[in-house]
Amino acid sequence: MDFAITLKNDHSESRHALRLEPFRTVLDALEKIRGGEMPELIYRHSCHHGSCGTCGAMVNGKPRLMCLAKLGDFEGEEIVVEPLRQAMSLEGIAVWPGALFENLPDTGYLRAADEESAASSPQAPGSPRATDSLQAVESAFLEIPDIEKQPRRLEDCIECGLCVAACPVERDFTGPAALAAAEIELGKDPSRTAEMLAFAGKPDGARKCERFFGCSRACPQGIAPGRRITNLLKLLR
Amino acid sequence: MEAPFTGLATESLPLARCEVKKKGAKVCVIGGGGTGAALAYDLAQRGLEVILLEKGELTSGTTGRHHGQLHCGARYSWNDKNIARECYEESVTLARIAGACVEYNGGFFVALNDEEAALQPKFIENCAEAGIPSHRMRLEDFARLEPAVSGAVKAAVMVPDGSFDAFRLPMMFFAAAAELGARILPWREVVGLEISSGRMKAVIARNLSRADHREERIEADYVVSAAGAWAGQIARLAGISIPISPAPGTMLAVKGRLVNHVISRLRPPGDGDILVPQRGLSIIGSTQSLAENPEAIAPSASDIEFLRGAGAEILPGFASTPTYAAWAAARPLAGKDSPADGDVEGRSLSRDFSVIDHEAEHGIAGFASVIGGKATVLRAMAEKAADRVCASLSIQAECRTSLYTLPSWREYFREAR
Repeated sequence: MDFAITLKNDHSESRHALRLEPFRTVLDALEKIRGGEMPELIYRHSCHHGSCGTCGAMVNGKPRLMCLAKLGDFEGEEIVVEPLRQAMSLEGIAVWPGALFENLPDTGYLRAADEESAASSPQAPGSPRATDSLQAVESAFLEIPDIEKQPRRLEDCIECGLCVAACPVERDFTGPAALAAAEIELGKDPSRTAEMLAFAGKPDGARKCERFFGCSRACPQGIAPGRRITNLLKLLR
Repeated sequence: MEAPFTGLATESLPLARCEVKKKGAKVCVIGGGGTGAALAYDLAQRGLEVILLEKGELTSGTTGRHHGQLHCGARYSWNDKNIARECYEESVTLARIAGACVEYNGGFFVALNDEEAALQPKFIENCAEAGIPSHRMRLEDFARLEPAVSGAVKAAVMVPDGSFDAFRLPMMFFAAAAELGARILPWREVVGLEISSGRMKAVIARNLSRADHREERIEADYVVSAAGAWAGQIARLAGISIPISPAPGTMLAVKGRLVNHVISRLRPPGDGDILVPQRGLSIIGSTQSLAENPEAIAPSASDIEFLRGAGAEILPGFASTPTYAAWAAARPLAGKDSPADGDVEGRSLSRDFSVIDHEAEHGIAGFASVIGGKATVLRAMAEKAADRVCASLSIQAECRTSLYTLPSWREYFREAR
């Protein structure tokens, strides 16, 4: 398929005609542009499979992970790629995500693998529980700090900042990523409830939310920050 | 015979308690992937002044595209017990010092036919010889733990595999390096190496994060190329050739955590024989080919189709689960036709990665390249390279990277840079 991609930031703009299969992604297109006509083009990317959270950008005005944005979905449309909103723009499409990480509270990175999660990742019914598992499993991993009998997995949030980019509140707001993290933490570790509620209750916290719910629509991991902020507001009342 | 499972013998220390004695020498590391990250940290911890240059975003080459298997080494035990043993040691070390990004749940090698089942005793013996714990599972226990795996399973052996976040692991090393004072500079494309009188003097890099792409000159007492699949290009800037071949591999992720343990085929390593659960995804890897240029590697439609089928052999539900992403990465394969194997540093290490001392090999003092290697052994690769740097600069400093818990990747982004 033939595509036209426009790369745009606050001081430059370039348009590129490309021929690529529809299953390729916007990130693949940028890789091709950088590999050919524009070797100095910079943009953040790492895993290419929606796991690292680095390649967020505004694609046709919406925050997307470029590695998951399939070109075929834009058939007949011009594609315009811009740096992620609410992040410090560098050159090209690249941003510095510092503000996102400064706002994130120190929350746990792992959770039980078979726990219900807000993520859209389906768990097969009767998914494995290892609580009653073998001596071998226990002796293998019980001696290792932080490893429990249950399988553990990484939390869903990939810290990509798409929720922040989708948020209409532009200042003095700790933002949906940080508040969602706090809400998940208090569900996971009740001993931190007071601490997390204090975090959410700060002047720049949950009460600054304007209930636009763009965060929930933008989240590639199905974490629904908007719903979590609503829950925090209930708890703060 | 089965080797016993063992826990972690040592306890990690907080990095804040790490004392660093400045040595007054300056090292420039080229390449911001896993090896460069671990090397910047190791050198900074040994008291050297470190500047790391990466032409793109950190981990944007091969590193971040790893499927995320924390290899216990069992996979390599068929062919090389030393590589396998080293992998096991390093996997345990990473689970200890970087536990925040590791899902350390173990893995199963499964036999899906009689031929594979017949290999089980040999596999367990291989693991034992390499010091890797393994345990034969009763099939009903395996089926309870991993009900989604094919009912055709004829044998299952548990090993201490795990998975990790391929972005966060190296970022934790970068966070540690930065905390100890290393300067980590992404968006710096190395365009020249300044060599005079047979000695490396400086690195010339373009700053791509500035509109004018201004060139910067970085003087250093030593330069290490940790550019992975791009190491051949860096070496050419010094007018030399090194045996490195970009070897692209394709991976395919489906949405859904179909298993909780890494599932591998019980047979010598080949294509499409590892299924890695990672966060909410299940990833099948991989394929292998050779390429001239490691840039802009993309998967072929035929690779994707092959992997879909290979995944379905292990997990019948794989084929009907929607594809989430397909991608490819260029492994830095160390060429087998090295002009003179005897001149390659790294005798004490397994053959799959080595440190080339360009003084001995090419008459350029103050310059080395790290070639080959795997994600799981990034810390060991860095240790070997840092040993070489210190020996060349006559600096006495021991590696301590296995002693300290790495800070969170979040810390890296919390500092203004």
